[in-house]
Amino acid sequence: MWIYLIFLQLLSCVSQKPTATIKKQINKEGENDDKNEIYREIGRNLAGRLLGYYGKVRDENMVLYINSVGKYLASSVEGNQTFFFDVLNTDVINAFACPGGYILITKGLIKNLNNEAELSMVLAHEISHITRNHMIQAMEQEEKELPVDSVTASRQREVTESKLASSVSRYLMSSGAMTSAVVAEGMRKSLGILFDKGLDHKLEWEADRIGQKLAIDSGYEPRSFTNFLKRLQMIHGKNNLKLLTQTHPSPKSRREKLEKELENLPLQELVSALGEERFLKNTSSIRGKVTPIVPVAKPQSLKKTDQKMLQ
Amino acid sequence: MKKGGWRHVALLLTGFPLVLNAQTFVVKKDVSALRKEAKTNSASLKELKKGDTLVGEERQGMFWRVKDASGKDGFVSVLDVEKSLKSDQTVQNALKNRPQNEAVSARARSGNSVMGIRGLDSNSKMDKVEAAKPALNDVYQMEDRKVPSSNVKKIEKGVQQEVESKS
Repeated sequence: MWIYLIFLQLLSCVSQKPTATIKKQINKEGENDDKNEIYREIGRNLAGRLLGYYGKVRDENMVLYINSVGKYLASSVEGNQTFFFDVLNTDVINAFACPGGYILITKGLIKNLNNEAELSMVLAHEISHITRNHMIQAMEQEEKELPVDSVTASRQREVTESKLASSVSRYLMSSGAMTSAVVAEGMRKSLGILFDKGLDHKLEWEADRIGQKLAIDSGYEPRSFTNFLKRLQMIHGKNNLKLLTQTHPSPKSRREKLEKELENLPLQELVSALGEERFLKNTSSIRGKVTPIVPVAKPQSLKKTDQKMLQ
Repeated sequence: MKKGGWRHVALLLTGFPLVLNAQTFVVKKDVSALRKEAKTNSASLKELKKGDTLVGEERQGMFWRVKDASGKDGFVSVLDVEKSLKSDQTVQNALKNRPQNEAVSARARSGNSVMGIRGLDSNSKMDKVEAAKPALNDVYQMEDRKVPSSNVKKIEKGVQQEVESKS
């Protein structure tokens, strides 16, 4: 019986055009739960590789604080997605959002933030990548765009084998079982996006815009993100920023777009929180005596004239 | 915005409550209250239940000025409500309506890099990360980490207090 089923699967793979993709495989399974579970497994694997490569910061109090700020922001997000936050032990300035809700920010990034409002902007940007399924969109888009050449053909063979393995294991194990091959394929794609191509700039801009709004709606200083990007702009070209600038639009263009967005901001939202003291207290273990790479301008808060007018 | 632009915005708006288009909000917490003033310690006019709908027009700091179904006026914390999305604002529709030429730009950016094939990626860091042994114990720790709701509340309270002290 099993041999017969395996034979049928082999036959179906041979007779099909070799265009099997993760997306198609998931669609074929036809169940959202399966799809989410596969993406979550990809995210778990991806986060595991990042943690394995960079290591993690062993300061549970600080990580708990980052999680609290993240969960506070996420409480205003629609849906029931759970988010997990951790800190990578590297001076590279970057943050990663993996499918399934895993968000990793680097020690170098935290060192270069001034307050909780800036942290909230970064976390909200990553949360938006996840709520809008940006990584998944990018992976699916990439499948569509692959050129037909010899490389593709060999790759398609690989995927077809994955598909075959998946089908076989589904029969051999139980319905809905995933294969590690599919997860590994998705993980490799995600890594390529995080470390090579980056997401489409439109998706980055969407995460900037939605993230900034999420943090502002949660009560944080509206100009925190643009202040932070301004400082990044000043250290553009430095080694520890190389990956970020390779995979994201330039800090300058991001800042300019976000500033435009702020022009329509209601006056009332200018009255907002920085959370500076709380941030410095909770991140003191990694900031220590280290001074930010660039002397940091005091974040703009309401100007005196504005404050008078509000009174 | 030009230097001093914020001051101009402030000048234009001073003394006038900002009136936006009416928006519908849905209460997302059972413990929410319709308050008399835009302050957390203001008197509660009415207890709100999860799922109640409110119509709001004006934001004041961390509060929306709203009307409930019976027409009662009051303030509700922005953290206790979520905006009700119109059908054309859903994620699915946004994705559906994306311009078709997005694919072209992504293709242009990808150049000759082919992803997903071991050994063919030009990015050596990516290879190193891929070759790293996944720290699954750290991932499980992330998943199992208990973040007390009191910690999240503390952040929320801290933000609200800072906003109120500046208002």
